[in-house]
Order: sequence, then C-alpha cells, then structure tokens
Amino acid sequence: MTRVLRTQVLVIGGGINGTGAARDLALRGVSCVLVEKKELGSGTTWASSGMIHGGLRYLQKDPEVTRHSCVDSGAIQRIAPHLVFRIPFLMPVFPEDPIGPEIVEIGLEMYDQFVPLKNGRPHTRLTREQALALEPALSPRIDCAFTLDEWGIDAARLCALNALDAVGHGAQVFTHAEVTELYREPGGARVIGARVRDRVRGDEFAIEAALVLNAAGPWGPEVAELAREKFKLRPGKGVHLVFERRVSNLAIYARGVDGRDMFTFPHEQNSMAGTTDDDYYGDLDKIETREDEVAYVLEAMERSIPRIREHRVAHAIQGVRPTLYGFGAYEDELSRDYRIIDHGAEGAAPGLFTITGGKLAAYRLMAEDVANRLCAQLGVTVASSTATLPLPGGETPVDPAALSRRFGIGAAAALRLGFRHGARATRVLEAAPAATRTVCACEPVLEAELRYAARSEGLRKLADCPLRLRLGSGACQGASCAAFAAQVLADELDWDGARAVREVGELAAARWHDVAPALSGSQVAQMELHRAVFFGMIGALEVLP
Amino acid sequence: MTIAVVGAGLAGTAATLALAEAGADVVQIAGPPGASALGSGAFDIAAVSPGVPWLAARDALRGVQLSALDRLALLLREAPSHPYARLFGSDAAAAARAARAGALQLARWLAPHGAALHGSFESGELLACSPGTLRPVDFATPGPAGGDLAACDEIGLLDAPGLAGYDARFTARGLTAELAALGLAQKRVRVVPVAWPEGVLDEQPARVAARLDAQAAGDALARALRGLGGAGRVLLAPPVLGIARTEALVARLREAAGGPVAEVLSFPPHALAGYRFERALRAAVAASRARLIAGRLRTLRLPRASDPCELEVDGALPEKLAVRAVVLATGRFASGGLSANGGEVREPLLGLALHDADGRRIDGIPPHRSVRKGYATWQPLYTAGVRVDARMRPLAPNGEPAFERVFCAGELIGGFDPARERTGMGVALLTGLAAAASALEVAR
Repeated sequence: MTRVLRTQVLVIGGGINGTGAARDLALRGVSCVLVEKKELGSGTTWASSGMIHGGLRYLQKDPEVTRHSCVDSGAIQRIAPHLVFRIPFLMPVFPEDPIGPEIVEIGLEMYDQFVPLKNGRPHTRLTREQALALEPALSPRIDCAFTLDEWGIDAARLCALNALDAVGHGAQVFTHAEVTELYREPGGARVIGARVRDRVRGDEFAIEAALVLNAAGPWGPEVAELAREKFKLRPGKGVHLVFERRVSNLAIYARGVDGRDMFTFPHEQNSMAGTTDDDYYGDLDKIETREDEVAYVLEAMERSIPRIREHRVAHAIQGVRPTLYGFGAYEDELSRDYRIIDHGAEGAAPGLFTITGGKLAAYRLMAEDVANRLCAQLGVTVASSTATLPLPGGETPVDPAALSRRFGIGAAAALRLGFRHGARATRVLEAAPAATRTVCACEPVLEAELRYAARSEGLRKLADCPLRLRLGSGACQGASCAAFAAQVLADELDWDGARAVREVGELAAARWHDVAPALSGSQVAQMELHRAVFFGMIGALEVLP
Repeated sequence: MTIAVVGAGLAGTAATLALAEAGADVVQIAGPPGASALGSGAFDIAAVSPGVPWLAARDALRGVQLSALDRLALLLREAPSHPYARLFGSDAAAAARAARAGALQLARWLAPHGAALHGSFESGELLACSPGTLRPVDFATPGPAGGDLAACDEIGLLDAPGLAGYDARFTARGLTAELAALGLAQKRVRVVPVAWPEGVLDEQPARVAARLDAQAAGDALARALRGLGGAGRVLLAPPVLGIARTEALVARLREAAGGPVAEVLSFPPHALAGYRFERALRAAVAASRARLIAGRLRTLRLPRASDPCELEVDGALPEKLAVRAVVLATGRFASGGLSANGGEVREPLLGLALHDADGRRIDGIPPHRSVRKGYATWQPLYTAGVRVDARMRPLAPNGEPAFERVFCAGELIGGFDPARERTGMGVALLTGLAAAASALEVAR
C-alpha cells in the first residue's frame, strides 16, 4: 500500500521560492510538505549570481522591482547576517561609451535613494587614477569610474537554511522526490494532493493536501500541466563562468557586445562572470552551457578586465529563469516582477496556486505574499514573521577564532563554518568532534560539516555536495576529494560499496558537464588529471554516466 | 655524438637509460614531474579492459578473460591510431615480445633503487583500489605488488583511523560488492585492527610514509603485524608503507605477518606510489652515465640536417646545448608537452601537428571544441598528440616526417587515451625504447 502523508500545504519545488514559502508557512504554524525533484536550489537558484542586489538594471523600467529587492535585501541581511557579504562594485566609464559620466551619475543618484533600504553606501565618483589604484585588474583605458554597493549570499545555502528552518517548525522536506501526478477530488476539479516518486530509492508515496503550491520555477508550467492548467513563461537561460579564484578585489561592470550590462564579481573563494539572458525552449533537465556563450561572456569582460582570459575558468553554471511572459520585448527588457496564480479563480483547478518570476533578492517578500494568499484560504490569521525571525545560525554573532581554538581547526575552516552555519557552527563540530579532517582542500570543507549535512540536513547524494557544501566545486572538481567524501557519506548513509562507487561516478560526470563547455588554459591539465584519477579509481567505466 | 632527451617521466627516462647503456653521450633535461609521478602503483602494458571501446564485449573482470596476447591483438586490430600499432603493425606476438623484454629491462634498471616491477605480463594480478574497487594490472610497483586477490581466501584490511583518503571499512564495503559482482563472494573481507607504532599515524599519508622509512618504526609495525597474515589471507595496507625503502619494508612486514602484505592502489592527492616511482627513475639516471640537467627546455632549433640541433635550457644555470638528435618525451597537458593557453591546443616547442585518435587535426583550436558530452565517452581532446611513424619521428600534416632527428616518446604521441585505455605506462616504456633506438641510429 502506498504511504500517504497528510498536510495543509504541499509545496512543489525546493528552490528559493519553494523553501522560502515553506518556511513562511511553517513559522505561521501551517503544516507543510515540500518536495523537490532534485536537490534544494539545484535549478535556477544555484545558477543565480548569488547577489541580493536591488538591480540597478531594472531601475528605469521596473522601479517597483528595484524597491522590493532593496527592501528585502535589507531583511535578508537581518535574518541571515552570517551568510551575506558586501560586494563593492566599480562601474568604469570608457571614452567610447554612448552614455557619459554625467548621465550615469544621475542614474546612480536615483539608485542612491533605494540604497539605504539594503544598508548600502551611496555611490562615489572616482578619477581614472583612483579607480586603477583601487582595482589593478581594471582597464587603463577608462575615463573614470563609479562605486556602488551590493550584497552577495550563498544562494544554495540560503535555500537549505529556509528548508531547515521550515523543518525545525514542523514541515517535512523531501529531496529527489518528483511529483508524477496531481490528484483531483473524486468527481471534482479540486487539486487535493500528489503522487511522488523518490528518485533515489525508486519507491512512491502520496501526499494529501488542502492546498498545493507550485513553486517549480521554470518547471512551473510542467507541474501545472499535471492539473491540465496552462500558463506561459518566457524562460531565459543564464550562464555564469566561475573562475578558480578571485580575479579582482571588487566587482566590475562590463558591457556585452550587444550593450547588455554584465559583471565580474568576487563570490566566496571564486570570482564569477556573467550573465547571459537568452530565450530558452530546450529540455529543462538538460541545460548546457554552449561554447559561444562562454565566448560572449569573456568578450564582454575583456573590455573592462583586459587580462581576463589569463585567468582559469574552473567551470560554468547554467540555469533558466522563470521570467514572466512578455511578447515582443528583448530578454533583458522583460519584467523581473513575480506573479501568483490562483488556479481556482483564474483557471479550473481550485486548490492549486503557482508562484513564478521574481528575483533572489525579493524571495522573502514573495514567500510572504504567497503565504498570505494561502493562509487566507486556509483561514489562518497568523502574520508572517520571516522578516524578523533569524534563519538558523543567524541568532547571534559567531566568533571563528573561538571555534578554531576550541575545536583545533584551522582559521580558514573556522571562518567558513561560521559563514555557513553562523551561531550553529558549534553544533556541527560538537556532533562529530573527532571529524576535523579536511575533506576538500579547495575550500576547507571539514569532515564534520559533511557528516552534519548527511545526518541533520538531509543531504542524500555525493553529486549534490558541490551545491550543498561547495565540496568539489573548486579547481580540482572533485578529483582530490570525491573518494574521501564518499567514504564519509557511505558511513553516514549506510551505502554499500557499489552505491558509493556509483555516487563517485555521478559526481565526476556532473562536474565534467559543467567544466567541458568552458575548458581552457590550465583547467585542461586539471581535467586530464581528473580523468586519470576517476578512471583509475573505478574499474568498470560503465558505472560512469 | 650527444643526444638530448627532453622529459623525465617514464618515457624520457627509459630512452635516457637505453641510450646510456648503449654507450651514447646522453643528456636528460628534466622538468617538473609529470604523469609518471602521479601513478597509483599499477603498471599496465595493456591491462585493459574496463571501458575500452574496442573491448566493448565486456571486460576481463566481468566476463571474458583475455590473455595478454589476446588483449594486444584486439588493440592492434581495433585501434589503428594507437602507438602500439605504429610500432608493431598488426603483429601481436611481436608486441608481446617487446612488452615482456621492455618490462624486464626496466625492472633491471629500477631494482637497485627499490622499485622493481613485480608480476608478469602473462598472469597479471587483481589488485584493490582504495575506494574498494578492483583493477587487473599487468605489473605493479613494490607497494601494491603481491596483493593479488584472485588467489586468496580472505582479505584483511589494516585499520588506520584518521588517515586522509583511506578508510578500511569503506574499502572493505566496496571490495565486498566488487567481489560479489565477480561471483567471488566466497572470499571473506574483514577489517583488521593494528597497533600502529607510537607517533606514526597522521592525517597526511606522506607523513606516515616518511616516518615508516625509519628502521625502528618499520620494525615496530612488523611486530604489530606478527602472525596476522598467512593461511590464504592477504593483508591490505593503506598506501603509506615508506617512501625511500618500501620494498624492504614490505618484505619485513610479509615475513612478520606470515603471508602477503600489500598496499591498496591509491590516487592523487593521497597516492605515493607515483612519487616513489619517479624517485627511482631519477636514481637510475643518476647511477647511469647519462648527464641530467634539471630545468625546462626553452627553445629547440633545428637548422639544416648537417648542423647540430640547438637547445636552450632554463635551469639553475641557463645552458645552451648542441646535439645530434633529440628525444621529445614532454607528455601532454599536465607536464606542459601540450599547451592549451589562449584557448588553443598546441605543441609549444616545435609547433608539431596534433591529431586525435580519429586522425582529425586538433591543433590551433580551442580545447572545448574537442570535448564531448558524457564523462565516460571518448574525449578527442584527451587523445590528442603528435602523430609518429614507426621510427617515432613526428609527422607533418602531409604524413611525411617533420624532422629527421627528432623522435617522440610517451604521451606526447597522440592517438590513444591513457586514462581510459590504461596503456599509458606501456606506451611510455615501449616508445621510449623505440625512440632511443632511432636516435642512436641517426646520431651514429
């Protein structure tokens, strides 16, 4: 007999919108089950720039989006202070730019009005000499430059924290759990639940829910289709290149050959460059970066950072934005606003809601909005508290030096744990105090953190580690750490040998998928070693996808 | 009649030692370590078969057991661009003879330096890898040698808590699964607790190995293993059994244990076997009459046939050499024999034409254009290298030898995928010897 779970709200999709909504609902005491067909944040969220910025870009056409984003960026900084980092930006102005510094400055003055909402500093104008002294990577051809102030976050971790907090307040979260069918009320139209297949175990279970929230991002139309509901997106593919290390101290604006704004920016241990925005009608489960997209990004960056091609691109990341439908506009001109669809009022599937569109920076606001709508239907009157209640670890400041002393771990490892786990970093180490070995050297991922992710945070697959823990996402792409990490996970998750080897193979293949389209420079040698290691390690290559 | 060998991996060193032994005046230019220094401890001529496209009829592990001769015959027939095919045409018997002789010769060179090759090309061994997988190998270096699991009844994995990259329970779990898949489930696998000598265990394998080089620590470990082996049991150790004196240590441990003791095969960054191998190669060159220059070859100029080849080396002291013939054994990307800078694949020293195993030109194009989707699928980029004739002369695009006095050896030669096909060591050895023979001819 199929196992049946009963809940008030079933959330489909474990990206930032789904996990954000689940947390909002759980904090209001609404029972809630979230299912994600892959890994938390593995779709659009992972592929985002990880910036919780206001979007200077949207100021002209969509000032509301800019305002929302700035307000909510401020809220995210309050609830997850450990997980955010300041990203100062430099916007160079070149002699050939059609818009001169005076006009640029008018725009920035407008943006300055929103900046206090997100704890940013107002812009400044720098002479050419000042800008070059501040950022040696910058092109000496510039006339002058402006600074502005944005914030970054680890988006995948933000997803995980939202999910964890939801679970902490009674929600259930299932990853690698795919909805295969939406149930209708017998003889009626109402959506009352879903059949779910666990893609790791291969078994199925059923969820009965008063309301179903489709937060599947670009997969949203596919999920709605299960209830024969139709809505249209204008899916836009975006590619970022991830450099093996930081290529500049500050984020630097660049302009694509088509005039689009892009940037190279420091993100945790790396720099990222991007992004592209192109209509995408391909298979959402097989999104690939193309060579010409890599060339387009590097071409754009080269004008601002002339030596960009000398830096090593470790890999690309790619995703598809669930952009709201608009006809006749270029991708960049489409609204970044979000939309909530009540398929009862607007269609013929009462009980089903969809949330789509939006920006990472405004995820919390969107979650609150959609939770308000769902609560109104459920008769729940508790207000949202997500703007003030800290995410797990954000309760009190963390002291990495004390962590390092108390547990005998390196300073870099302590900083990293503090960044990702905040005040709860001690829990991670207390749970496995002997596990202070470094599993991944690209970023010091400790065995304890890996064990904690498997034991207490629902990590299920080795191939999810680059996303969950940034393990294997550095220069070596898992060649140095995959077998070691598999040892730890096999112990925690009771894998047999065959399963562990399969997991190693899947990780190797997943990394290749992200590296291959941007393969160049010394990463070619790195992947030569990668292949030698994995093929040497795994006797039977048929294990490798 | 000076001959220069560029590269100090297995290919370059085999060429150097062969030339020195033949009485030639040979100078080896040794850059930083390359692929040979990253080995797992396996030494394969054609150990294949897992995953090799032309052995798609399943591998030796999981079904069809192929003799060494069969494997070579298949390879020569199905992979015409493989360096073995250049050397031996379709004559598998000749290839097998050369492989056997080459391995013997290498073993003779390395034995005095504690790195003799063990095993035989005919029988091979079934060895364990640290993640708990199994590998058939043709030969093995002293650490993992003698750990053949085909013949034993029981496998005892020595426990080494806290060591990075090794977990006896994990390896045991993997081996159990692999043996079951082979229908060898009757072999017992267990974890054996060991009283490691005081102060030896550490997170870093290299540190443990260095400590075990000390006589006292080695003796203490031998005492700890006393009586643990024998009676059909193979004891498998983490890959930390010394750096400089592995062969002697393993012999002592075997004697104490009363049966076979061997390391599991391991992989970077936890592998030491390649480092030991590299060490022995250098020691063998030092003991030969060859001259060694540590440095990188900056330029190689080849004027008219009657003039000497001119080399400029960036070493501790910049040096200029004039030689009669050059053996290029500079490897592929990891050791700088091929470069992918500026998004283009090139052979940087002479601009030699590069081809993949399909015969397609691959130089001057960005590397990502030569890769395919799917990790385990055949990747043209990683078969790229120089095309050679039977004398190991690099070929120009028109198929004619590009130079008369330059000979290539090792992975610099394209047309095969060392990672996937597991013929890298064999190619290095046999092409190294062949290039040396050709160089000797023109230098005379």
